[in-house]
Amino acid sequence: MHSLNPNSNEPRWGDVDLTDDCKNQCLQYLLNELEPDQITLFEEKLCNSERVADELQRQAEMIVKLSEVAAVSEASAKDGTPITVPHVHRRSQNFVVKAVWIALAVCIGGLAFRTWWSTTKPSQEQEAANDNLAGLLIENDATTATVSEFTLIARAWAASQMEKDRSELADSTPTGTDVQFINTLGDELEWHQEEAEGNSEEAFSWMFTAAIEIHEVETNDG
Amino acid sequence: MTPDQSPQNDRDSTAETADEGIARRRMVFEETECGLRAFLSKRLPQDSDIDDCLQVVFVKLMEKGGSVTPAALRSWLYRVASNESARLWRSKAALEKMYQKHGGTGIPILDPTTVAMQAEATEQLKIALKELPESWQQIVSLRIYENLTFQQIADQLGIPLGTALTRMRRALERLKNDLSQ
Repeated sequence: MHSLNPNSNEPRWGDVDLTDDCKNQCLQYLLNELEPDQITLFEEKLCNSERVADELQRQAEMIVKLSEVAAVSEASAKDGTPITVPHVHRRSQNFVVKAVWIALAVCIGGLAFRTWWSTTKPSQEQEAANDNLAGLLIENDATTATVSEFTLIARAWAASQMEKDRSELADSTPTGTDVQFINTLGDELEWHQEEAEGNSEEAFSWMFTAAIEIHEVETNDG
Repeated sequence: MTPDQSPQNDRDSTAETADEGIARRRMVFEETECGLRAFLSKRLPQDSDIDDCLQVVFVKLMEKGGSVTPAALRSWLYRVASNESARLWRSKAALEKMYQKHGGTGIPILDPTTVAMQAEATEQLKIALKELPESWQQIVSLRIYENLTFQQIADQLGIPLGTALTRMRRALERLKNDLSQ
């Protein structure tokens, strides 16, 4: 590392290439393995040589980094694995492989579910479509259509209600029949709601057919 | 080496109480203060700056030194001193003054990016460590992870002390080069 001191470019006493012994002393000093008299000598050298300071700093940096890896390894050792750095790397690799397998299994499961759903759902839609089609066919006086039970009920109920409605309008006397009609209508709705609890699509189909029937009658009257 | 300074004592200190830990760290600082001052004199021109820097190093030692591996505590002190001296230099620059003017504290903040970079550097170091020659890996492992002295390692492996030291030093140099690439 270069010194941050702008005056440090001047040559100084002891600022020469470091010997291997000197570098080894740096290592021993940092790892607290020098005798007290050696420590004093080394610190004098440190005070006079920038290269020694730089070497000391480089070694200190790497020792601290290695100790940080050691801390990770010790954490792994608490889980019951031996303290060896390569093994830590292998553990992380195993974890990644497991994660990939889990992700792959989830993807395959999702794909299978979607395939099954796409093959099942159209048949239900087709059934509902058949009901609607049946209503339309009745409306057009088609006799050979496949008519569901709900459609027939809807047609009958709509006809009776329109008949009642017409007769009440003819009387034009607001009496208790209005209340009776509402009650009757409520009872009919309750009955149909109970019937339709299991299948909301069928209930919708029934209402749709009834609405068309009422509209048909009104149109014919007009 | 005095008995109090031996790595074996460092290893025993893993089970120490908080008060014992503080006392040990204070002792390590007192032992290292003279060397730190010599080290900082090469980086800071004024004695007052060196005193300020040492004070910060001491505070950080008390706050965070407990989490440092005993074998690396002295190296950690030098790294903190080096970083702090660099920060002092930066604080004199105009940019730093402007930063402080806008409310910055000048204390480095560990943002997620820095944390991620540190984690990546640790991963790189693990990989680089694996690629070292077996004999070098062995020395590093025994010294840093097992906390044996170089003399104990030399005795255990049946090699001269100088060889153990040189292998360790070359391992550090190789790792440093690998990380800088």
